[in-house]
Amino acid sequence: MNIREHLPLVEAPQSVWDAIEVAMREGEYGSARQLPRWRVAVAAAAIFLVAAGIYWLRVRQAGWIETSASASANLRIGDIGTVEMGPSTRLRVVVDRADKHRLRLERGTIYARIAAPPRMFLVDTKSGTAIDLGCEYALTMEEGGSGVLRVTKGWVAFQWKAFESLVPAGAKCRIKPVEGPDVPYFEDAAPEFVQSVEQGALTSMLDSARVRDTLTLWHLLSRVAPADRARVYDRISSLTPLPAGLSRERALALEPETLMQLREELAWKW
Amino acid sequence: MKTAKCLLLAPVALICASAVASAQTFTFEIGSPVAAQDFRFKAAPFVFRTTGCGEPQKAEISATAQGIVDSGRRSMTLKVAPSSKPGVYGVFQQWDAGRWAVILKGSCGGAQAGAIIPVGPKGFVREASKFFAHHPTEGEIDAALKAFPEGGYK
Repeated sequence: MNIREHLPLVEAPQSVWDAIEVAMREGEYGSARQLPRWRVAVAAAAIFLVAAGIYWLRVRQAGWIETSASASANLRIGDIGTVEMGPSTRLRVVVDRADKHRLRLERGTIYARIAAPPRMFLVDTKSGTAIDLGCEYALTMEEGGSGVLRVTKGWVAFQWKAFESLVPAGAKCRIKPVEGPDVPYFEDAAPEFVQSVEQGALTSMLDSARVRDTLTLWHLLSRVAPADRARVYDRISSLTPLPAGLSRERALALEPETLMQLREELAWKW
Repeated sequence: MKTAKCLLLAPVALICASAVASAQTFTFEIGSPVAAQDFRFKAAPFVFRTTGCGEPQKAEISATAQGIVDSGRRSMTLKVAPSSKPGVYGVFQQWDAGRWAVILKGSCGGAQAGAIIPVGPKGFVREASKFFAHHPTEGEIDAALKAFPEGGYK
């Protein structure tokens, strides 16, 4: 990661400037003697060393990179892509290796364009980790840990403890403090479906779901109460035919292999 | 004697019917790149798989892009990239501005399958895609290109 291209401006301490000014004034109003060149060189070197030291301290030890309210910045992520930082964004480099790149996004918006095998690029937040699976996405986080993940190409997994949301291109996912990722949904879904997702209104969600919204319904299977799980599964199967060998009972029991098989099949409708 | 002939012919008819049925179900299914679960296809406009082919690894698949650019017809051959899953493939965009559709042709044993898949800035247009039990004809391709909305699919 080429951090040097994105230095924040660091000012030398005032004492250095004062010393230079005194030296220059002595030359102008004093005995009219010329300021020796070596003193100017020493002063310049001192300014550089102090500034570099402050930079080293602030970036290498703390690793934070921050943009102002009116600025943005581009980070190159090794050879695998770029991350554009929006205004008022603060992030830190956690890992910067050839085989893994990891950032921590404290607040603000990043837009990542990554061309690499899965799981080489990760972004930690207060409410979970975005795991690149080959994609382009925008991740916006508030200080309190709430945020939104929007994917424009490929797909991203967002993980928090036991919860993981798979967000493909064209879909978005809200991120909640403490709770992690919400169920993802396609941005072209009907307004009533979107509203139902945001309100957690299951019946309305099931009623207004299209085939493509099985993305959301699949995620709901493992998040609704057991008593509601059958409603969700049956709605999925009414929207699209499922493979003959897929066991309803095992899906309702949240057997991982069955859920994965169901997801792989539904993905052809997303 | 007649009864014996009927008893003999019935299973034969059943086998023939099954063979015919299998041949007729060879078809393409299209999906967004996430369906392939292969990061190499993340930039592909779509991925597709064959269904109803007894030996998917032996299916012969080809793809072309056909389009209308500045009122003129254009055509280009596309590379069909196999994924790690048998029978799952992707194609990559090689066209620029204009109205374009990807034409898929497949053969599996004696069966054929075809598809015309219009594409736009956001990838494939599922609702406008057409699937056939034969290779698409020039007339079918022409009709699909003429059916593009004014300004193309958004």
